[in-house]
Amino acid sequence: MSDRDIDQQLVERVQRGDKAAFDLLVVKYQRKIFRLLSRLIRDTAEIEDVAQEAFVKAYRALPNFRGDSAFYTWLYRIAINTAKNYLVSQGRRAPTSTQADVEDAETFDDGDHLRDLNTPDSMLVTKQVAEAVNRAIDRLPEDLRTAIVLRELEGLSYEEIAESMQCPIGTVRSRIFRAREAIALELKPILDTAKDKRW
Amino acid sequence: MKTGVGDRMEQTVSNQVSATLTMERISILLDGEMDRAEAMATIAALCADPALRRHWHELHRVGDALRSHEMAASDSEAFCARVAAVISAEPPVLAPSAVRTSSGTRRYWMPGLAVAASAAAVALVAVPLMRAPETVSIAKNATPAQLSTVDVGAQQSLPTIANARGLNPSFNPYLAAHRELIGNSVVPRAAVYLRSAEDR
Amino acid sequence: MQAVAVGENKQSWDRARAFATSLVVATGALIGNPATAQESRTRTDVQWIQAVRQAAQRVNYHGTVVYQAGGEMRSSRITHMFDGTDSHERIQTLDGKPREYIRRRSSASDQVQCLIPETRRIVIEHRNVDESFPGLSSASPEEILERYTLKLGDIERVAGIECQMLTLEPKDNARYGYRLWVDRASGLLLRAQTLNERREVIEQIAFTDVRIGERIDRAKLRPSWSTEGWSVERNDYRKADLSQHGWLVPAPAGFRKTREVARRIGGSDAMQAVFSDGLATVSVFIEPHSLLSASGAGSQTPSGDALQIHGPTSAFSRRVGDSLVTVVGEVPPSTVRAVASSVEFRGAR
Repeated sequence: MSDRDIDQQLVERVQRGDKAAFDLLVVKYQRKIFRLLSRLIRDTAEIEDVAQEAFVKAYRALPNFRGDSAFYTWLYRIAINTAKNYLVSQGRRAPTSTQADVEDAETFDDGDHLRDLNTPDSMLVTKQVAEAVNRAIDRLPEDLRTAIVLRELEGLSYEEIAESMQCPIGTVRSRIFRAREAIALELKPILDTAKDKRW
Repeated sequence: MKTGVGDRMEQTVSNQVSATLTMERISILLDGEMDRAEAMATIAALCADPALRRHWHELHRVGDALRSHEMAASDSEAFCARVAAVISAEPPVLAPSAVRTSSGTRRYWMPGLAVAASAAAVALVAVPLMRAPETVSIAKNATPAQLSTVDVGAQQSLPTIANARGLNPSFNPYLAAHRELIGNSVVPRAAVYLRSAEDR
Repeated sequence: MQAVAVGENKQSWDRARAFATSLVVATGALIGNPATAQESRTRTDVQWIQAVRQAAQRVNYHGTVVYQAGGEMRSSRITHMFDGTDSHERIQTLDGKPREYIRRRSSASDQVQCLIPETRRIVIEHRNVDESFPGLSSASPEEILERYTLKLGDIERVAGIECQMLTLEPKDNARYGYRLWVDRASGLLLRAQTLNERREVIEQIAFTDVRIGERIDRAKLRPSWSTEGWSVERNDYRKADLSQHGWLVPAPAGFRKTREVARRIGGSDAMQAVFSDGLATVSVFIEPHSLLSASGAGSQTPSGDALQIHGPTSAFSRRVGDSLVTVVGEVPPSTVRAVASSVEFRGAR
């Protein structure tokens, strides 16, 4: 079942009253939306506010989503409009680069950098995250490392990775999963305690 | 009457249910690499279990962190919780039943027939008014071509539209003020304006 | 080696799914096959009303409606779009005098611009959510069901779309009944009839063609004419307390007061009390001393028992002292007459 079909399934569940399905979509697209908004809005707190409003508007307007386009494309448009309205209401104009193509939204993104969060705490957390990720990657056996990098950074499918690594798809599946587990484990203490520090 | 063997098998299956709904399934679903039946079941399980949704979040965090350290540093869990809190306060999306047509999504009239259908429907609707108040059975009078483009709902037992006397135009300013303050009913709002489109 | 593992996984997954489905049946929870679960899913009466209301605000649609009442028929084109916060609507009449209604509704306010090209006027009608009557600008579904009985009818097609027919039967004679045809997928109302006590249709609005749930081109929401230089009119009103002016206006049975305002009607001062039962609305207008002035609307209204009816609307005027009391509403004539008769002047405090 393709990524797009999965989104469509989740949308249909929301349309039938299942709010948990919408949570899954928020988790999935939160970063992409933040990244998109960071091209228009500098302040992180404002980005969060506008992103939140965009997701809520998408939830409310969901009866109008019929699967003619990909869910993310539709969400992307809502986010852009929300950001523009926000900037206008603040008396600010959006930078002209908002004519971001819809095609941009649909290509696999490889991680633009968010403008640096400005507080010392957040810079520290960023540094810690970088260290944790690097540490986790270094500690991975080479086959796990290759698999996760090909998947998350190069965007290859399992089949493509299997061919590239000359191994069965089942092996690819489990390597990617084990790599994720290992990295998640390294990140957990940093991200979970960082949360407490913020308050 | 279940046998002991049957019971044990159910218990095994039950363990397997919890064993199979693991992070690995979620990982595969995340990559869009699962067959349809498994994916549907995994999605259903995710929607039913907040603990599994946390796993979904943790696995997404890995990809986010790999792609951008700054992005990962900002607190995604707090953000997602904020959105979830707002959504939980929203009225649920209520579609009486999501009936899917065989073609998937499209369900409205065919553009090519638009003009003919509207004209035919308008013509058919007009007839009983000339003979008000009796109900006219349109089926007898319509040609087969007209029948095929117009709904059953429109053609059979067209309503008698009663109360044909006019209102004294001196009521117009009251009607306008009344209309302005009509709240939201169930009858379409458009009816409120169209009731007296000529009167302003 | 790998293939065997996959096979085993699939088998156990099938068994797991079967077990999960049996859990579903036992607990009634909604996991498992969505299609069959959908068909057997029933809606409560309250949910039907909520769904229809919510769809009216949140579903995008574009199509043609035919409106009929009182011996007249009008076709109009209608476009409606929801952007996640506000809903935007445009209605263009296709016959009779050209008129367009542009509506913008948010959670706090509802504004309609009525465009009248032959006199180059825009008349603005505006309604804010009134904080002193919270929740009464739309009555709750439960309140509606206290006064009407909801019944499900057949599935019938309207504008090519399968609809669930619903009737809202009034529990007394003070109000009219309704038949509604609701698109099963979106909840959008595609046809509505107002019925009198003899079950005659006194008003109908119905789509003859419609596109539901599509992205709406914003150009479809803009008026047909440039309105530069047109005059803009508003009939402003402000909150008022009729009892403080000595007027007693009891709510008709099964109706609740939703507004009390002071405003001008046709050039003279007036007060207006608005009552609703969730579906129908009745307005009571009081113009103090209007019969003394030559320019008030009251001087043109037929005096004495003036009970009129047109389509779903009933209207009645009556003198109380030298004031004029006028009642209008989408209710039976007996109701407007009874409401007018119950208005009393007790003297200002």
